[in-house]
Amino acid sequence: MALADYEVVIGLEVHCQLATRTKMFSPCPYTIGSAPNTEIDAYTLGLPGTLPVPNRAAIEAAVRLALALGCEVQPRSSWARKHYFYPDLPKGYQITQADAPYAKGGHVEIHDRGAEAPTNEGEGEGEALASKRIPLQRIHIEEDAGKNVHGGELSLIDYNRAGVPLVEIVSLPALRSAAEAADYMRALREVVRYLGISAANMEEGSLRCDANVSLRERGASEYGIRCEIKNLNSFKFLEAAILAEVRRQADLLDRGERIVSATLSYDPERDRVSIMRSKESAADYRYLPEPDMPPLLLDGEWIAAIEHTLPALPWARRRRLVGLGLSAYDAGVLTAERELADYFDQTLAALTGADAEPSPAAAKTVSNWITGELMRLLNASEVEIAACPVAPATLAELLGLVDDGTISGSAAKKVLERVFAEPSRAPLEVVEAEGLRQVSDRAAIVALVDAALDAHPKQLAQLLGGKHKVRGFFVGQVMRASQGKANPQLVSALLDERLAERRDSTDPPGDDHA
Amino acid sequence: MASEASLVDRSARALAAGVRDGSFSASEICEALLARIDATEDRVHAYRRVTPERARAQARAIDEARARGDALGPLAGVPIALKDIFVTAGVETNCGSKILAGWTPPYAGSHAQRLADAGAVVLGKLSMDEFGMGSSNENTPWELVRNPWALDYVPGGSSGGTAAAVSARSCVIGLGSDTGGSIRQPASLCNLVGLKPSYGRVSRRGMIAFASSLDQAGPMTRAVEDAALALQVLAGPDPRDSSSLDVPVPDYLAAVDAGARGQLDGLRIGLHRAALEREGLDAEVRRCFEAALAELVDAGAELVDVELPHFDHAVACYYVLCTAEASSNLARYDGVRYGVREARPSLAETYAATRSRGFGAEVKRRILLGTFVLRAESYADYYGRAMKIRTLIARDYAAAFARCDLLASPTSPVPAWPIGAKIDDPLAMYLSDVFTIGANLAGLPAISIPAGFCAAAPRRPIGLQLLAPRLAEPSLLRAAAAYEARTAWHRERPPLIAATGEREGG
Repeated sequence: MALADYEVVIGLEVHCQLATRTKMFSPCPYTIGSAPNTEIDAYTLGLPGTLPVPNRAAIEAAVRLALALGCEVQPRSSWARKHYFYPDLPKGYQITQADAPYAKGGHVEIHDRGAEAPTNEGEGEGEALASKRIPLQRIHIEEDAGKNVHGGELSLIDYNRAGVPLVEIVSLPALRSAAEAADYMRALREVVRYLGISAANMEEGSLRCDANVSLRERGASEYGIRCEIKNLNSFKFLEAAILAEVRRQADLLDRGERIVSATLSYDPERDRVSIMRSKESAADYRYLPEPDMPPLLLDGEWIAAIEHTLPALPWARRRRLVGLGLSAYDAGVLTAERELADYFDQTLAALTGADAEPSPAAAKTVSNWITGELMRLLNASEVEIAACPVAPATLAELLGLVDDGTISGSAAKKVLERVFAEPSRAPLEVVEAEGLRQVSDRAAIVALVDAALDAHPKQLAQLLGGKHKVRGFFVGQVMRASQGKANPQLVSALLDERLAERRDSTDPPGDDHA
Repeated sequence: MASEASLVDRSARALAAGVRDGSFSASEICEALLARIDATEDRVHAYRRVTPERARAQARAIDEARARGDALGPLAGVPIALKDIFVTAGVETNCGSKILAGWTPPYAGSHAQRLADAGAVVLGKLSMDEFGMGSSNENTPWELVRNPWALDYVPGGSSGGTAAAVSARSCVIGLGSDTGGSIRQPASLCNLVGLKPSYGRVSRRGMIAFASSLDQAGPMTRAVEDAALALQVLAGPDPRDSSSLDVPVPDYLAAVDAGARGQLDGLRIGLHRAALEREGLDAEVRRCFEAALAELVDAGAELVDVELPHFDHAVACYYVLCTAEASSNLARYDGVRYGVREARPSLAETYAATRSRGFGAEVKRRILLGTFVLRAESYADYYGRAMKIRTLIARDYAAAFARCDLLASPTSPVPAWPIGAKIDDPLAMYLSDVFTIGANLAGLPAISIPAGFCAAAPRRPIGLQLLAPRLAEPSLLRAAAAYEARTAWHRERPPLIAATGEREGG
């Protein structure tokens, strides 16, 4: 069968570290990137006699995520021990949640690549925003393991990461392509970052993913046998690994062979998956209800209070921006990060006034400036939007100067560069200091236009002869003569006016020698 | 100045009062106890490790504090010792196991901390069955602990070293731990008061885990008032133990003083008579128990028959649960981070060698049993069913306590037996827990108090056990104090000491 005759079925298990000050079950501090074995305490090392005490901040972060993803937060959940021997696991078990996770159901909203899938149409004007919901099975809280570092004869262990709070987000097998799986990861990362509960960085390992992949004939109702690819630590590898596994399974099925359930690892260099162990020889984790801690009881009022503090989430903001008349593409760019979306909202509010309803024109202007000039400056200087030296109010002030004709768009670019480099300066001050105020004095501009026309008789003749491209040359000449300060609209209008006069006073075009 | 002999015999309450009023100094007491340890240890082997210099420094600090006029704690100058299951910062802690040989904890356990904060002087660490697993203190890679009442007999376990030390007057309060009777049974075999508090009443932080849902620390003393005094210091919530109970701590000494008048008018004492008909209850234990009941009735108590319908399943239920939890709790002893490592070329071989050599036979047996019952395919049949039975047992007790205030039973079905007599019969050893494990399964407080001696030679102590509803330690202590006030068993001294010709003091 052709690859296209198989339906790909994917479910993801995503581990996300929670960026709390201290670890999941002990008051030991944790920050990414500190020297090995400097962030450890008696509990982290599993010293005899130590006991776990849940970290309230981590549970709050986990509850925020569950609420943001529309899960049912369970008033009562419980802890369990998952046993296996490995040197990076200090107690010989990991504390996790087994039969009773704190969150069930919910979904991750992703970009809809397919036509058949149900979509949520964007409201209001502008392009439609196509999205679909990937349903979740559950989310549970657990503690991370340490890290083994293998080199030469020795294996070294760093326990800094041991005990760091994690949530594991388990999707239903509702993803249908590698690209969609990557979309899901990106959407999940966006939500997590919007909530501010994790750096969610795949390269640093604060966001990790295992993928369950199976194939079935299109139209079949039963799922095929699935295999699990472990430890996918980048978006690129996630997609590549799934594609490689789809090829492997399709080959087996085409040859009439059976898929054997297995745990796999992906080798990026060979772009192939290899079998780590078959499920028949899978470890028995001997789950045990955690006797050191009572069940996790979450108070309804506390959950409601947390829900009250949730920020607006990416898809909601996207719909609002499309409602303001922005394109789906621009809305997507502006909401990719919460800080950027906040920046946009604050700039637009400052430009139009807090109480006024922003106009589509203003929204478009702000969007263009942020996605254009500001992003260019940020990228060039490798500064994140959160650390942008130009405050939203400053950008709004600058756009106001363009709007009221004080400066031209090109002058505004200069001013933006200036205040970006020297944040202490106000836009108007830069305008005055650098003489960038736009010249809107008719007489002065007429003089410049006439001077330009007089200085270039040959081009004038061409223009009058119907070579309209030459018109731009004269606009350029006038702008240069004004050192860029002339109001371009006025220059354009007065140029046409003076040209009309000259056309009337010269020979008909038939006499042109060209 | 009090003589050494009288000092070692006094109660903790009397010693602390004497230190406060200047009758004697903490240092004097400390020296008297260290001398006693020297005199008896070569025969008793109660201590795994004596820490005289630390003890002297603590005693000096108490004396200096008093000289400065500082307020003194309730245990000021009282010499105590801890079962080696309790973590002591800077003092090697082995938990009775070779696998922890050489391990010196870098953090303070809550028990050692609270006792020291109350002014207690810690003399050292006491021997025990490995990881608390045993009823005779024979599960040890080191010296066997002897029963001071009959040196060829076991002291009981797993807090056997603690029982032997308190009994031999080589410490005044001993701290034990009780997972299925490990405080009460050795207390019974050594003529002591042994108190297992309600689950959660005392922090478990710093007590090395055997079976986390059953383990509880408690005092072993020669007088009920000393058990109350120690519990007063140990009890209360601990933010580092989320299973500790955040409920107020009552005045335990007041309860003892209320009982010391010897009157128990209107107290209803429940009896589960079916349990007394079980095979294996020693006739002398039965005789002493009947006599103790008569004494309680004399004091004004009323006997009430109760049923504990699931009692017969308790031992099986207990050994499924405690082995399951033990297999989990002991997984951390892998030779990677602390303790003994038997290095081998591969990781798997290193694990196998470390654990094979580090653990003793009984510990391995329980790890294997626990690993078996937690396997995915046996979980429901074993662990799952045992948890259900545990719930039923807890309900049985709740129903019984609707009809009575306390439950009474023998503590151990037999008095101390000769060293080596049961070591090859683990099932017989497990059955000796029959009366004690119920309190652990249901999380109830229970106490064992001296209640007589067997007639057969050698003359060995027999204990009475009382159980109370959750957190009803005051009624337990009151009844125990009343019984103690009416009897003289607790005043008897083991022949080991009597032979030295000392006389009782205080």
